[in-house]
Amino acid sequence: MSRNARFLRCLVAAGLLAAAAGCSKSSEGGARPPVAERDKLPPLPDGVTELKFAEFYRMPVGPRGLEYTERLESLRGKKVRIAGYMVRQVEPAARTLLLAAKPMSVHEDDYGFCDDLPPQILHVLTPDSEPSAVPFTPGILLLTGRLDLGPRQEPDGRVSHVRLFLDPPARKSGQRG
Amino acid sequence: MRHRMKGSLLILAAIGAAAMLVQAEERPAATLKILRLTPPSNLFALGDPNPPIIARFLPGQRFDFQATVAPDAGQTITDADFWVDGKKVSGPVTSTLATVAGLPAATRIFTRRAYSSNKTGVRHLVVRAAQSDGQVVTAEGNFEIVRLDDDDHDGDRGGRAKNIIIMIGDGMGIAHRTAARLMLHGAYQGKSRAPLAMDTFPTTGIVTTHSLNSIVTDSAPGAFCYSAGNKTNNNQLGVFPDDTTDFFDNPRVELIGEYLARTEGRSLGIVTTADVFDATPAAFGAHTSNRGAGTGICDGYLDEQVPNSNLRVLMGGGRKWFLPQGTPGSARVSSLDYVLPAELSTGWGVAPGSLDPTRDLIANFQGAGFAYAANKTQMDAAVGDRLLGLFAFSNMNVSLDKIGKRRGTSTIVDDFGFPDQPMLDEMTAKALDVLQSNHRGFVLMVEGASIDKQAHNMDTDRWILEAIEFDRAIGVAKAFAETHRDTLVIVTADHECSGANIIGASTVTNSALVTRSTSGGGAAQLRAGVVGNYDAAGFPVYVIAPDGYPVTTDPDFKLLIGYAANADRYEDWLTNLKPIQDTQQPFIGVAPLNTYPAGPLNRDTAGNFLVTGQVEGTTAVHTASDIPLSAFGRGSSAFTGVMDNTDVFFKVMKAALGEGKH
Repeated sequence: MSRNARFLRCLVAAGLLAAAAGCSKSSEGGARPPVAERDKLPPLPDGVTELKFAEFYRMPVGPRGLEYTERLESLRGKKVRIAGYMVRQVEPAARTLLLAAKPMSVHEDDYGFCDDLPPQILHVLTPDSEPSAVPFTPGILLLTGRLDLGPRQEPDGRVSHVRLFLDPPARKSGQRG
Repeated sequence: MRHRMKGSLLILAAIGAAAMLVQAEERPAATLKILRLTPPSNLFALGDPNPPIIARFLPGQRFDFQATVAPDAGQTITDADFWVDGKKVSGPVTSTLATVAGLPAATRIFTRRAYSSNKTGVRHLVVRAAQSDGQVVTAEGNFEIVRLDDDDHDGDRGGRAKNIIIMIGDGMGIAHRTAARLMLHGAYQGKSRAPLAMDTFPTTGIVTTHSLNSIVTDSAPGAFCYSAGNKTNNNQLGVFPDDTTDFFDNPRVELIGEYLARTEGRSLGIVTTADVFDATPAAFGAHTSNRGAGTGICDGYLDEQVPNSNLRVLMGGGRKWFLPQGTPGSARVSSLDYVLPAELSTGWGVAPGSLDPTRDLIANFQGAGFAYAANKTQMDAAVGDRLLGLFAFSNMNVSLDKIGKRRGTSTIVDDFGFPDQPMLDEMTAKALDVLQSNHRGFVLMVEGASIDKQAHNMDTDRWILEAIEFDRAIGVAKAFAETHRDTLVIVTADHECSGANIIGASTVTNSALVTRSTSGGGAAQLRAGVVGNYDAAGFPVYVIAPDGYPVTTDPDFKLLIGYAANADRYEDWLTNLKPIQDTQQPFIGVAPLNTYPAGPLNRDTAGNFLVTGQVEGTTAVHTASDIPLSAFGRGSSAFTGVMDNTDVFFKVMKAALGEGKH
């Protein structure tokens, strides 16, 4: 098994929901499973808090930029779990995936960073121990990791505001790395 | 020198050949040739010196000459110069390599910036380019400097129009006006019960809207014609096309605000319900071949338009372009920004710009003396002679939803995160209040942007209310002109959108329509027995609330609208409770906006009445239909007949400058 394939399986082990198989490159909000899929999620592990994209920024919007909600601020540095869709990218950055509340795609070669990605994007950074290329995985991903906040320039040039340092994949007892 | 071709067959042959050249993907064989001569002309493109003259300018209006020259294989183009009426144009001619794909190697572009002339009439232009082996190639074109004292003004002589108010209902064709009138005032026994504010204007004309490269324009050249009197390609504004990939180095044309500030000291105001970087507002304050270059367009408002156009009012949506990268919600990126070539910056006397995604543009505007308003409350409270209002991150919400919030019947604007947005008539009144501080006068462009955007979405009741909101803003402008008699107000559009038209009216009550809309019966339930035309249409009646908008847009026997340039949609004729998702909004995809329909195929599905369209995609499109124009105030009598959209600019400027000034 290739390392990429193994990592994909690790994502599954981290909580990939296959319910959305077939949702693909479209950035249109058409055929996608309802958010109510969350109701079917497995129980939260101890020490992990559920987070939703709608909880990122305060409403109504203030006089200037978007502001983190108190709830998001309270989870800074803590373990969270979030469900979302992996953004399909033409030029994905190494060891990074973008998670959105709905299926989306971006074409960096055509538009650079002039895209329709909403501010509620989660930059998910995978462990150094895993392959740098993150395979595109359609469907709802349920990811767990440590939450990090604040503007930060990523290696691909994007500025991230909300990040998730993904937990290493769970390994079976006795499994060798 | 090219041989001149005579006759329509030859002209058509030339057009066909040009089209084949454009479509060819392989790099053409290198031959010494002038590939493009700007300003565009039929003399260069077709060998035809006769009217219509494509490029026209005011006396003294500045514009650029440019030529793209391909050398023979192995040669280079060493220099070029421009000649007008046999006289060499003085001033520096600069050169750069062409960078668009598909041109012969070493193709170069030669530019003479900011030329102007006061000598009126059709002017003959020649470019002469020299190759490294000594060969010379020439090409000819023409342009016109328009006389301002040969007008047919006959009823409103008496001085200049100090104040110019240009009201653009984006996408507003004749049917959009009719629908707004029918909903707002109704008709009975064959007569409208009252006119729209725009109907009361004494002069009306018809405007053709084609762009430089298509019979169907988009909003960029569709507004540039009014701001500069010229044609350009779709997606472009403030410039002519060129052969570089740089969005901001194209040959420029001086805009109305720039011209009247430079020559008269007047001010400029730009008000829209769209994102302020959108094509229509940008056509009055930007020079770019990419209408999507929001970072640079908004930077240019401050860096060029404030000093060079006396831009004093800028209001609309689009705050995301003004927030420094690093602030959540910022859309500022270097790839959509600009650094002008030195020769352009020097030639036009404008700031060169910089790639500065971390710029805090709101703070910079405030530093330039602007009051900043983030909502209606702050707009109302703003004082001073400079105002920046950014009421949403992208396009503002539409009037149906803003009114719903004010009435307490809708939380749509709350879902978008901006609960306190002004209406367009309120923004117009505030803009006029601010701009009056300049005793020399002003140019104010007011755009009802979402007539177009909601017509694209085939969201009938939303665009009709947008047209009503726009008409209320027209009423404000007219009232101003009635008390400031040296004011000209024109109302028009940039193009028609969606091929909207009034089919007739429903023949059933609202409750019956609701029942049918959930029946799943398709055309048998929602077409047969519902769509009343001719006599069956009768006279729909809407009750208007004290706020000036219909109490409900779903009365019994409501108005029915169809679309001639439509994409597929489900239709149940009822008001859509939620607008279609706008991917430019900050909370898109996130609850509760993720419950909004993604497109016209994701709403009204319960009735199962699918109306198939002629166009692909998910939205209706612009059409090439002519559009109406109405004029009021000083100089308004000139706006009659059928006119090209660029004619409007020259009529406006004749009113603004007075006859015989130049």
